[in-house]
Amino acid sequence: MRIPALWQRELHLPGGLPPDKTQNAKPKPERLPSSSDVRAFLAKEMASPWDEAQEQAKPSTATQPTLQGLGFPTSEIKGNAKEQELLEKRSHMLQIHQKLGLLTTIPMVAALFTGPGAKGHHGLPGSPTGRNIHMGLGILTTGMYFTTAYFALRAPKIPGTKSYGLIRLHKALVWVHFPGMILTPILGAIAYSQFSRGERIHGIAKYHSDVAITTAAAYGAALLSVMLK
Amino acid sequence: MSIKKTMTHRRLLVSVLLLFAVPQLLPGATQWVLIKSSLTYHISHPLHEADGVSHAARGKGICQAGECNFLVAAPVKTFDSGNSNRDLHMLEDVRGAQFPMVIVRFRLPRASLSAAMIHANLEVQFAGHTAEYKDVAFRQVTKGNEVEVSGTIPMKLSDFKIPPPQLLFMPIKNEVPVRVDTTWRKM
Repeated sequence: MRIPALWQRELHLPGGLPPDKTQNAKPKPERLPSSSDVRAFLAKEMASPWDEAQEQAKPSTATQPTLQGLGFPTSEIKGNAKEQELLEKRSHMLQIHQKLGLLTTIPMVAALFTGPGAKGHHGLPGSPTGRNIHMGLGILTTGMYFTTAYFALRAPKIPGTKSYGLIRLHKALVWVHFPGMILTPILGAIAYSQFSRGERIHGIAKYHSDVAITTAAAYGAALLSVMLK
Repeated sequence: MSIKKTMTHRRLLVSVLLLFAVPQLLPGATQWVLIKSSLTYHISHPLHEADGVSHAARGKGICQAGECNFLVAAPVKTFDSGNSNRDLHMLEDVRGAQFPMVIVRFRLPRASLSAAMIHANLEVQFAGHTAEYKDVAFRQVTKGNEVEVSGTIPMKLSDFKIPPPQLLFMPIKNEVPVRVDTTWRKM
């Protein structure tokens, strides 16, 4: 594109001579300004001081898109060490919760299997050893269960987060196995004392095994809810 | 001639010049903007598989002098795997609060934008580390003024020094491929 010499002089474009030298200057073959010259001139001419200040603030050039240029709010781009610390503490506590929870299934299942040995079956009473083993496993299960629960309950909450997915089922099942884990050892202790006195299990204590099985089932479902998806 | 008159004269000339220069300015000022996106990571665990999706990515491409520079970024916390607990663990493992963005940069020759397949060298910034993925293939479909670009980035946790998260004493696989489905519009 040819630009008239008058305009070149007027706009100080490369190829145009400065106005004060035009009269005495020897005629030179004129170089036509390239498109990049025109672009550079237009950019300079049309830039406001505000634009220049903005450009200086950006580390990148006009040919490189920037993160700020994508329009993300600064709060979203900027890291937050305190929040990271909170996430790490939460994660650490929940990892312990998860591992202890899995380990708790061992004495829990063992307690379920030793139940008939404590109670007796086929009309025969259970042996005192069987009762003691069952009681020991019950105490171990209860202790491990509440330690597991402690790590979940004390894990810091992340502000602004909502629960969704199967974790909601995991949390909902707490309403079944938590009371169950309080009730089962109490009923077990009553049943144990009745057996020790040579009495048949009666009253509320006869629900010990039903409550224990329901509790174990809810606990197993809670465990599966984090395993499956 | 007064200064004011000179300025008016210059502005008039600039306007006329602009008219002449527009055809030449166009090839140097092409911009692409990401208008729709879906980034999906896939994790494999011995017990199950899971996908986390984000639709919150933003991107821009600037083409100049035969070369285009692209930038795509998404907040890490916008990835949704369908389980809030897993998402929070993911956020912790990838240090998402400290490094809240996953950023992808790549450069392409302008000529390659019209091809059906694009092969790009990606620079991915994630979890406080930068990894490069060479020659990643993306399929490109042009629909009017828009272009749909899709492909998979073969990301690995070890590339970003992320220890594989564990569930019930079992770690997830190191390979976490990220499926990219994007729609770009030429501005």
